[in-house]
Amino acid sequence: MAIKITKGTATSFDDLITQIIAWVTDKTVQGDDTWTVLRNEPWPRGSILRAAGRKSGEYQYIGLLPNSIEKGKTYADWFLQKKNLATHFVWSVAGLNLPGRDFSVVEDSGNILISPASVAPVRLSDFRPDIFEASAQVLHLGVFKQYSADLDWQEQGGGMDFSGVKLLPLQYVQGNGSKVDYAPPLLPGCGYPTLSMDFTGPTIGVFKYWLIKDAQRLIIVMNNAEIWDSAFIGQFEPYDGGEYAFPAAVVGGTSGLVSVGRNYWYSPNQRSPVPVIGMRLDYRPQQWSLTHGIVPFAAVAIDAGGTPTQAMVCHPDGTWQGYANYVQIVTAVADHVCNGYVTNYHFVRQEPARPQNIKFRIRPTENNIEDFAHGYGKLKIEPIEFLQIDSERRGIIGKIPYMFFPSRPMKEYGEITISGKKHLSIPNGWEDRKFHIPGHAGVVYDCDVDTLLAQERRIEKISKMMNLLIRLEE
Amino acid sequence: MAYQKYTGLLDAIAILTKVSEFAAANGWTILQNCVSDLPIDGSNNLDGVLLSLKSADGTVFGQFRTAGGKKIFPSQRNDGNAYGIGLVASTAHTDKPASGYWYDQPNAPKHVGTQEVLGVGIPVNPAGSHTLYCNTITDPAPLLIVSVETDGVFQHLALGALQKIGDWDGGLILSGSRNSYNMFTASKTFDATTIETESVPLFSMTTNASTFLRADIDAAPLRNPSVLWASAGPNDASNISYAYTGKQLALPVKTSEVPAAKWNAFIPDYNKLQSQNTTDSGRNVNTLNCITVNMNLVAYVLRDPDGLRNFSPVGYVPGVYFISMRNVAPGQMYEISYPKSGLLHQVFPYTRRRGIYGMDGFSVQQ
Repeated sequence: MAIKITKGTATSFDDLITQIIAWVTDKTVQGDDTWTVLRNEPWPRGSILRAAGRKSGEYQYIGLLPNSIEKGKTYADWFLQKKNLATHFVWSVAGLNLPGRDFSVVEDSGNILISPASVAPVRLSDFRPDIFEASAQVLHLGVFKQYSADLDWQEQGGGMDFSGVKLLPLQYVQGNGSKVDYAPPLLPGCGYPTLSMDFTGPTIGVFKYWLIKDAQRLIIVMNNAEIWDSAFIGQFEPYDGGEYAFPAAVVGGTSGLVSVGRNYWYSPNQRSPVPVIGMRLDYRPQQWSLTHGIVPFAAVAIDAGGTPTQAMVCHPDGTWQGYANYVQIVTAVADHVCNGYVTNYHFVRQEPARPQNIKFRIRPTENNIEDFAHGYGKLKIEPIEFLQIDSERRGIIGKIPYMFFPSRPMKEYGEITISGKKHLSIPNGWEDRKFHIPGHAGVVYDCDVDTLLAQERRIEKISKMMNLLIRLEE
Repeated sequence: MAYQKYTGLLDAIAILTKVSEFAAANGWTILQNCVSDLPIDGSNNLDGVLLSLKSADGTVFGQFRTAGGKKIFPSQRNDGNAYGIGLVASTAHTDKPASGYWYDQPNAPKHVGTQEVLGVGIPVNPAGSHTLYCNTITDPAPLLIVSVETDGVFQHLALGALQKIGDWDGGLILSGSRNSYNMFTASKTFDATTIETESVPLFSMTTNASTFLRADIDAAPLRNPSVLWASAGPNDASNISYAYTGKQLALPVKTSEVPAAKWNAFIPDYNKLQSQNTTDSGRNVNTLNCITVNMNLVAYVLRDPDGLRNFSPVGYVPGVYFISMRNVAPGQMYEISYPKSGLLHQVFPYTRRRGIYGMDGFSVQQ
């Protein structure tokens, strides 16, 4: 098991996949660690590679699923197919909850009208329902325990289950009634850790990439006009005696999920809107929520158990769990009114906090590390470990090989040499990226200057610590 | 036995032709090989073909009949879209039933109230493109399963005999995605979603019973009219849609309304293992090892007197098991090593994965 490195440039995710496949299946480079390509197709079938599993004779399946997400189109095209409306809306408990009821769908003067048998017809509030905040190019990443040629990418055995993920509700109207919320499903592939770029492609036409691979894992680093993203796909190294059946981890640049809020109106008689906060998907790399960024600072968009993050780990019971050190939510701030009713709420993103309901963290950054510094001019590098602090499950379950956290702010990014070994030093997104703006984004009347200043200094200091090192040689 | 897959079949007659080919190659005797038949309305233009067959051990007789625009059973709903395949089981066969109707075969299942012959059936779009999977089991008992996939939705028919527990008379079992009354779809366009909503799981206990077992249960054959079949549905003769034969058959796979119904049979069932809604994967699956467990389909019959609600297990559906489709693809082969190791099984959803029955499906031993 030897580490192999390559680097190059790609013009799109399809191009990157082509180059990854060519490299990982090249026996002259990879020797005994060569992977096998099982398929290489567009969304929703994706690319799947067979790699060595943890023990000899075992396999794991590495999945790469590119997609081009167009706001207002991609999701509606999928969701409004009759079979998907049936599964996720009409028959689903998340929607109309009419299991097995037949229905018809018509497009009527700019409305989607769904008429289930023997109940009043339902009009979707959005002609083109959507869960995306913006368009983007994405590359979803996955590890599967089993491969079946006839199943779509995200349906492969041992994949992640996102059925409990609650996105910001969409609305419908039944008959002449009030608007009712429903929970939209995720588009196939979404929820998996993802690498992303703008819908129009790489900012300068190409992006640089590095690939670091051994028999059981692949690390992808991309530098898209100085916006950095990193990914890990494969087996991590559990601290055990070989009992952990499938220690798989998938880390990407983002889960895509961000916390957003909207003013919801349910009936015409309502005087004030209801501020509703939930999750939507925004894969753009310049999105500055901490749900985009390097693994030691992984974050969730809402503090609810089972929410995916950019760092997903397969537990010994086969379920996937999102690991997160932070939660970054938005809160609703009412428009200032002297008298009368609030007519509008603003939604302002909060400073990241420690999640209370997600007890799966990443060491060593599960605590505040802002005072961590170098030892007499030398960097100390810390392994990145998965930590459970649940009431019933406690302890460190293992570490991600080849990825480290440096003990002091990095001064340069790209390939550097530490103790005679080559490393790739990457920032959290881009150099000097802030993950929060102090104050309530324009609505600052309720904060004093000292509080804001203290917050800004805290953010400044932690932002500088947000770096990741990736080993480029054995 | 190995399955056979046929693709690009255009209509019901094309499907039956292939079923006949498959059955003949797997030890079934073909008694009437897709012969043209007259409609049951008394008119004299041919409207379908008839395929009659007999199992190798001579215990199972079945008649398949295509519908080409007209009803093929005495009572059927949606007969404006009368295209499909019907199936009746019997204990013997005659080419020329006394009544002249193809379904009037010796000891065919009958509705307890109207004494009309009951069977099972599936709709088939006369201008579609269908994929057919044929499976047969020979040991420990004969079973023939016909699965038709159109636009991603499966419809199934099954004919065979139970692997008996104990010694009793009967054993013939007949099941389908719909019973004969409900076999046609309400959708003129054969819309896949509509077809799904009208379907029930194969070998299940459900309101519109579509599984029938031939059994001499205590004194039921001596009743007037005699009761020779048990139906896996309500004990209610008022609605022919329930296809009540006079005795209840209970099966461990139940549709969601059954556990709360007053006619439910309290037997060891798979209600908690089944998908609870369309997006649920069910509990009969191990997410770590990606395995699903083969759960036996045990048949139970209501003993005399009916009022005591005692259900006796009488046998197993041979080679067919209830599974979760969470980690498996429709129509593919998997080694499911329980209860026996090293055996391949072909897996099917009841309709489709994440469909009306969630991830519920069945496996057929090869």
